[in-house]
Amino acid sequence: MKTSKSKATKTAELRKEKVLTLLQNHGLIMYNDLDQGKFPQFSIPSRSVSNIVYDKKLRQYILGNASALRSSKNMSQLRSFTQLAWLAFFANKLIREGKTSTLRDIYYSSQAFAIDFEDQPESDNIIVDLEAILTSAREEFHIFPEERSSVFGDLTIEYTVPGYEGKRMNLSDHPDGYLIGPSLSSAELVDTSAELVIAIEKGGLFTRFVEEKVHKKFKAIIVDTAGQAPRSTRYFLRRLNGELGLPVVILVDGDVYGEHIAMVIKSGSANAAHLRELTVPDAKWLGVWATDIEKYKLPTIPMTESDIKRIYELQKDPRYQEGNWKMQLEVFLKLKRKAELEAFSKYGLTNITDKYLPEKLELAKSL
Amino acid sequence: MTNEELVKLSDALQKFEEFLSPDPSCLAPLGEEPLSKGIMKFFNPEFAAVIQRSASAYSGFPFVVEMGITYGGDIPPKGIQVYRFANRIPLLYDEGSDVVLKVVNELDWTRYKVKGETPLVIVSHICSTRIPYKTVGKENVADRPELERELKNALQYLARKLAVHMSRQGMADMAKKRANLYSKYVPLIAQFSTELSGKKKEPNYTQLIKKGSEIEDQQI
Repeated sequence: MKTSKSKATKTAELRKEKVLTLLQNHGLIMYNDLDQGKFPQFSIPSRSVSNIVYDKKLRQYILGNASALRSSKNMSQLRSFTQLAWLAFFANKLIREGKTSTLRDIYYSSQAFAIDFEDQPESDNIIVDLEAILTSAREEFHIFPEERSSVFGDLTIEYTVPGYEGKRMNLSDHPDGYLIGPSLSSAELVDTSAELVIAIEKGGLFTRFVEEKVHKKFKAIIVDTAGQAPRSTRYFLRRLNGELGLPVVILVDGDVYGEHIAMVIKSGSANAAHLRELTVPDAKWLGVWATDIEKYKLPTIPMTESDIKRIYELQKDPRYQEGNWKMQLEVFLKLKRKAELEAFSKYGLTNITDKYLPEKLELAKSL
Repeated sequence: MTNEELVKLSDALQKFEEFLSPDPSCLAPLGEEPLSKGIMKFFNPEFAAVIQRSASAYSGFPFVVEMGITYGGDIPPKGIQVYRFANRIPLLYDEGSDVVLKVVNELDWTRYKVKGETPLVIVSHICSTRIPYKTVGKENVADRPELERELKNALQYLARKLAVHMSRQGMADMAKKRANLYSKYVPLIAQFSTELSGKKKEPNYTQLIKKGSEIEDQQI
């Protein structure tokens, strides 16, 4: 495992250097423009719907070639241009000082520099602009959303955040799991005995899985995505998959939203089309499938109008045009009923871990 | 003549356009200069314009419309105020039903760059051998089509002059705003880019602030 460690350190440092170099280059361009009496400007890839396309090779959504110019020459853009320059400046500071910040924090920090954001959506937007310019996720420049997802399993990590450098920790030490936050995202993945990653949509089931020792029985690392997986969680799943070579399987509620949570882990969201490395293209959606509802005789609840509307929407998505993804949508539409993960409790609290999970894992091998 | 023939004759006479204007020498209008002087003295405005229309007639009675428009200065920003005069007498009551008010209210002021609570005063003087009052109180003038047309033409002429002034002033305001914006934001951009690029000295951006303040042809 020694090789993977040095590799992880290397990639972490390379990534940091890459972002810093990018920021410095943009700073230099602005500096030179100002010095020569030219109006500095940024070219920002357009994030409008018409510019979001699905790339079959990368197996995720990407942005097309359209881009918009934000120029300090245009008076109506001067303010947002300055905001962008400030954010780049602030991100640079965060990275160099090894500090982290949240979206809300950014909104307030700006006020120290007379950079007035009218509200948080405005500052959030500027953050996405910077992401698009640098094609790097905000997490790379140390801006994190509120975290709520967690991970549990036999995985040793080594922190790289200031004050904890070199400190090791095993993620099976605390049964509530560990928050997938800034320090975990940047930690080195040192060693694991696990052979599998199970991403699960709900905190309750996550606790059940820990109680039932799923991590031991199936040699698994368990990740609670807490609904739609946050980007740091998707990034973490990708690292588990890429750096440790662990296959990722996903367990979600048996409804159209669950299916889409699995899809987003696998191939990203249109919202994050300007970013790479947030996907796990080989991840497998284990269930709950629409066909499982009948097969396992699960208690169901009827779909709402919006559930059904969502099915029609997803049927237009290029990723739902074939295979199981397409088929399950059709069955959902036929059933017009949905089943939550907890539905298995009808047949006993451990039914899901004793019966459903092993059967599904066996099936997944052939997927 | 029969009744029908009389009606026909009356119609034809009204349609005939080549009668000479009635002789206005019997009328005593103020004249543009005294009107303008009065306005300047009374309101001390930022802008004023006056017009005296040539004489016209309704039902055989000659009349002359004089009008002034004035903006800013000592005028309180309470929206459009109208001062009415008829044969040099101020009309104080019953403003709402007066033809001058009707003409002022029917004008689309936004087309003349007048919006909201503008400090704007309109002075109107109707001079005639017989003012068509609506009531015996002699406080409001009736909306005779001939009179209304003259008032409207006078007002539109003045409003156009005002619009020119307003857009000039708008541009001056814009230039000021632009200068403010650039002198606020450019130093900040300079500060951030210096830090980002790792340079020791800030770039020389004075040139750019000047340039930014001078751009004329941009829209917001």
